[in-house]
Amino acid sequence: MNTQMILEVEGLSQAYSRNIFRKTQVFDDFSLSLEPGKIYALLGRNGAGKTTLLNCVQGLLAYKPGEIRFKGETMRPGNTHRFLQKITSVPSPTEMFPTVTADQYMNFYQKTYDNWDTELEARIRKTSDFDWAKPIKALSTGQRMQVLQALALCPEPELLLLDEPLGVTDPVVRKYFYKNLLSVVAERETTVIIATHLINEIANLFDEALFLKNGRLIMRKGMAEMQSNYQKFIFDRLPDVKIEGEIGRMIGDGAILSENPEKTELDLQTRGLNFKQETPSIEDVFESFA
Amino acid sequence: MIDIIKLHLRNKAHSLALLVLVFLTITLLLVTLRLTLPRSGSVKSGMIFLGSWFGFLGPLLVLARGKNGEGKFLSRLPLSRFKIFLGKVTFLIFAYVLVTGLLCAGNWIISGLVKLFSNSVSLSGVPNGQAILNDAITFFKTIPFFLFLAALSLWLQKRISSNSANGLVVLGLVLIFGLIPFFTILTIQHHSFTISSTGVVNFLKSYGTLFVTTLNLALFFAAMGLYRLRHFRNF
Repeated sequence: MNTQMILEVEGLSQAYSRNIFRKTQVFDDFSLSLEPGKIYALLGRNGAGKTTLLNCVQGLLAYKPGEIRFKGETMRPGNTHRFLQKITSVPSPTEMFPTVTADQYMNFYQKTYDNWDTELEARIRKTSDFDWAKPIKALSTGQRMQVLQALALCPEPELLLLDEPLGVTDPVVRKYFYKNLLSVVAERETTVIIATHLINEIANLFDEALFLKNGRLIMRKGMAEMQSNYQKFIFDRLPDVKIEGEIGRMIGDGAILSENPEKTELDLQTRGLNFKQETPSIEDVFESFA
Repeated sequence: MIDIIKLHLRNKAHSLALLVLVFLTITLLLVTLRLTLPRSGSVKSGMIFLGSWFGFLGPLLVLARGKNGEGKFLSRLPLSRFKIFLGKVTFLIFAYVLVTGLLCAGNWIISGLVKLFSNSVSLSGVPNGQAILNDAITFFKTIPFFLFLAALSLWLQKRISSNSANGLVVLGLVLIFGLIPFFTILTIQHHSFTISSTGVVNFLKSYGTLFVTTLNLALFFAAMGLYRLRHFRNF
């Protein structure tokens, strides 16, 4: 039986205008499909296209050619608002109106969305340590992020787009955020795309990691799959030549990542090099692919 | 829709109040200065610095625009672009009427107080019913032109979604709002300002349109620059 994909991106091309005559191509014929109820980590270096992809899905950026479908229905920048009842996001705190209070924001969102989880709202308010009657400008960036997290989670979305949602929040806030996120996913089968650089923190959270590089999807794997497929080889001094099976290097650790550990081991023994083997962390995989 | 307008108003209430206070303070200062001097004659209302009543639209646009992506979150909500646009335009009109109303009321009160305390000094530049009506008629005359350009801007934004295009749209809108006062002056026969006869005023009578237009544009850009200095990057 075929699973209905929650999001399908097909042949997406998107370019930013640097000026009237020059363009920077971000995506060229980019495709991706996501299953419902899963958490996806969208990873890549700065400028890889993570934010652009999320903005295209929300209809904030025009793209041509290409098609984005939500549950099989085609979205266009002009009609995306119809789908945004079910797609929410955590934007940058700079987008908020500074003199509007957190309470007023919650009321405005509650009126705008068809569904609203009052229980979750109460839970988020309870775990926060600031006054929601204060205007946004009186809140710290971390506290603003908490308001934005509440605004994204409470409308009971089917697809949640998180672009650096944890920003400068403290560990306690992050802990509660993960907890709330997991409960939302478990209760409502929400699909989550989380673009973040705090990759070690989300290592146990996501089902699949999507690695973007220069607007291309270069790898798509689950954490367990990554750890069983790849092996980290650590050296006293990194070899100057490329080793068999090597797919990337971690310069700081003096290590390489191999997709074929047996071949790599044999090659290293032939060359008479000393090494240690380790299971790679997601950060190791990220560095090697980046 | 009403919620969007309320949100804009909540966000800009302080700025609008500041705008009213600044202009009333200017008028009050001028009046106080003249009352303390042993000379009679007329004092210009602080509102002359706006060029025309429609000069408000410039600073108001700047107020409504916000800084670095402020308000962009509205585009992430399940609201159509038209609704967001209409919400902002309605807010602008409402804010315009509100600020104009408050300034008129403030000027009338000051004018009344001047009459009460001094027979020799009077306040000029205070709008009367006829002047407001003239301005309002002109406003409605310029609306189709404004709407056409606004529609053009929206079409442009849809066609070319890029930073440069957005910059062009903003520049276009700024020019529109800068030009509206100019059109106002060209089309109004009895402008809100009553100009008394002194040497400077004679000059203004001869070159009034040019002077007020230049003043208007200059003030518009100055207000914009003062309010959000960083916006100069866009021009």
